[in-house]
Amino acid sequence: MANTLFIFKVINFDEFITMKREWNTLLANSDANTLFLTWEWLNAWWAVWGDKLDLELNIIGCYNQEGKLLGLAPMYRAYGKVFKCFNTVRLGILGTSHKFEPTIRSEFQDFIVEKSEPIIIRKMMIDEIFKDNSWDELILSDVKNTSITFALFTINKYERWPFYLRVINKDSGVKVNTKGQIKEYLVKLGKNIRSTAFNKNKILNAQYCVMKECVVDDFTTSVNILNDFHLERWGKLCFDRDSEKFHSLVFSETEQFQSYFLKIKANNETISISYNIDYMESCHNIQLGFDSSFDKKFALGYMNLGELISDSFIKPKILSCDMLLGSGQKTFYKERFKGDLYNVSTLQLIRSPILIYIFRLYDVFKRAIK
Amino acid sequence: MNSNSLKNVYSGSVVINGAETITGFNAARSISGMGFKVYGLTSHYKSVYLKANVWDKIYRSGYCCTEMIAIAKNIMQHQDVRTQKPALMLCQDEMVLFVSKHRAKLEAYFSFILPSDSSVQLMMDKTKFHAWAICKGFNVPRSIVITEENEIKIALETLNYPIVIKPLTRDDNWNKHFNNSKLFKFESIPSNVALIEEAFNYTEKLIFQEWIPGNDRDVFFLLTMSGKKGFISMSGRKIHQWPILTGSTAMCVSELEAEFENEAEDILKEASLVGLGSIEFKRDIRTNKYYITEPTVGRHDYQSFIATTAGVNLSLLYVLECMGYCYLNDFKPKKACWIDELNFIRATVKKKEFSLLFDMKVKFSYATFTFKEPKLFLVYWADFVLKKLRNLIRNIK
Repeated sequence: MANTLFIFKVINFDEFITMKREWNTLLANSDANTLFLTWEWLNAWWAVWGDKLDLELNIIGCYNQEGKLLGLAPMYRAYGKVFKCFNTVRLGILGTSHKFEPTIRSEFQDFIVEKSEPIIIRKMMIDEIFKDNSWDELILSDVKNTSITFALFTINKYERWPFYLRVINKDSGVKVNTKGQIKEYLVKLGKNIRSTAFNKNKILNAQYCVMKECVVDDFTTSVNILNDFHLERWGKLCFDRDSEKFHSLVFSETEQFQSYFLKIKANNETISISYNIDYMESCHNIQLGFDSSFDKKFALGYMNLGELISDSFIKPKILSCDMLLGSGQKTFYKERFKGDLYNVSTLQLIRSPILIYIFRLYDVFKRAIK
Repeated sequence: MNSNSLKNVYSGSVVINGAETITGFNAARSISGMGFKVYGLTSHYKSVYLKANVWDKIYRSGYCCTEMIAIAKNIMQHQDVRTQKPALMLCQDEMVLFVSKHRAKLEAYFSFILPSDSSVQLMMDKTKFHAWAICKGFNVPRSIVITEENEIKIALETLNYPIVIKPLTRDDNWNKHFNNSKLFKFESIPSNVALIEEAFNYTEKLIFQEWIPGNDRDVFFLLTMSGKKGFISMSGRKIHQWPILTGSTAMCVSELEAEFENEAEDILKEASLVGLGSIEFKRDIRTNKYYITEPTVGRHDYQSFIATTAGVNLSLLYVLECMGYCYLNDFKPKKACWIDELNFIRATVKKKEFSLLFDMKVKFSYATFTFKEPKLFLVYWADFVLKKLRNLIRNIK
């Protein structure tokens, strides 16, 4: 397809606000179809942090001659400082503000490109981004290593535009396939995890009056419980005021996805809670918390995930349970659920000559110390 | 693809066998510094290549499933994500056969790409491959395989001279005894067949093959990695071999528009090659026809590092394929030259072709010398000089 057949355009806020259907249709037809790139998720993120962090919307849209949307680079522009002294203009993907004031972590960031021409449109999108000389660094957080975007910035580096690449974070996640029968899945698991996550309910039931509850309203109470559990275990809240505001906006959305809290209660007290969102064919575990002072015989986090996976097997539309990125306090416990492992990387592309020099020196120094 | 621009980009572990060899060391070099943990497997204790910085750790292991599984378990235990299997990259024929045979056991602990066992057997067994190639209409030199000493005379009398005689599969015993010689060349029927009879002590089958007229520069090769994105290849031609005409690559260059490339890919596709592989051709100087002289399956070739130098890092692509990383098949090889320093000196001295290096405007790489680790090169030469001195003293005594 020739370059001239595509039209690139910067999408302003008014256009962004009104393009929900167009955006989500493209996302559904793209190879980057995740909850974290839905219009609703990104719009909520922008509503909470756009003004607060003084960000400028910098969404680039790719259209064909008939005006059909074929690609999106959902970015913002931010002004900050590197090492607290060098001014920098950063481009980032909506949904995460890496290196700024922390917002929330939106995983699997990518360009949204129609499946029919994933490479050409991406390459031209990169051209459009790099033609703009006004930025110094571009940050793509938690890009899947299986994404074409990852390849285009790494092994198949687009030689036309020189930049210095740094991988500033690597992480892994696990997605459990919940097609078929749960019995078949349980057979694959190790004895310990099967007992801890799936079979201990009976013992818990025998000792306490146990109840499982799926909550689709009462957002504030559930968030408070999660915050209390986190504060006790990690010494900090999992939802500050802004992220609570963000998630309340997401929680109120019922058209694209279904958000809910899964609680395990013992003697009418919540002992474990997970915050989950069902999007397309996957259930996403966004947050998990449990009462760490409860009976140590029971691994409440595992049990909650076990319930979530069991429920995913029952729901006809849900084909997988994604535990998303991150590990526990000591180990990467998610791998014990024997799901499909995936890896992500956060890429920092620097093209300002001064910043390249500074970061090269910094990296050499860091390696030398290591 | 510039290796420098991929610093610390990837994660995961890679196990490379034949860590003591130039091939193993060069395979490790191709992926070193990119974020992988690179582990070497070796059955030898003494080799300068084991001292290289490219290795995170060297494991001693023979051809034993239990040992290899224990190594994989040990590696996984030290990873953040313990279920991520290390990628297994092979550099020796014997190991390819071993892994292919025990793939069912090893697959649970290593991630590797090998063609089916029947394809491996076909490509590794010169008799089977020769018959198969003729059947498929590919050009191969006329050959006879013999299994007993009493067949030597008939074979010697049947073929047109000159001929070469080589083992069906070359192993460590052969290499040790015949000082890494791949083959013997005879210009006419030899009066004394003692050498051929002796060769039977180190291999079960010998292949007698008509010699294709041409010199070192008429030897061409295609290095490839075949995965989900199809064949990614790089063609090259040898400039020097050591020993001259019959030995291993001493110097080779990339061949950007090779005539044989399509044919080579057809052969490899026909043989259902997946993963790493290569094919070597010799051009007949009388007819300009290309004859297949040697396929390689499931492993790196001696001169594979030239692909990395030319910007087509097949070792990295193999690892990415094993680990499920995304890559695109859009590599365009650049002009490159790879030199095995010691054999290059031997060959150029013998041929007296000293001006060649200065004529070439290409990117150079060397078997042992790297700017990152010049110490290794010095150790290599010191080792070589010491060995020669020791031999000299032994001879004087």
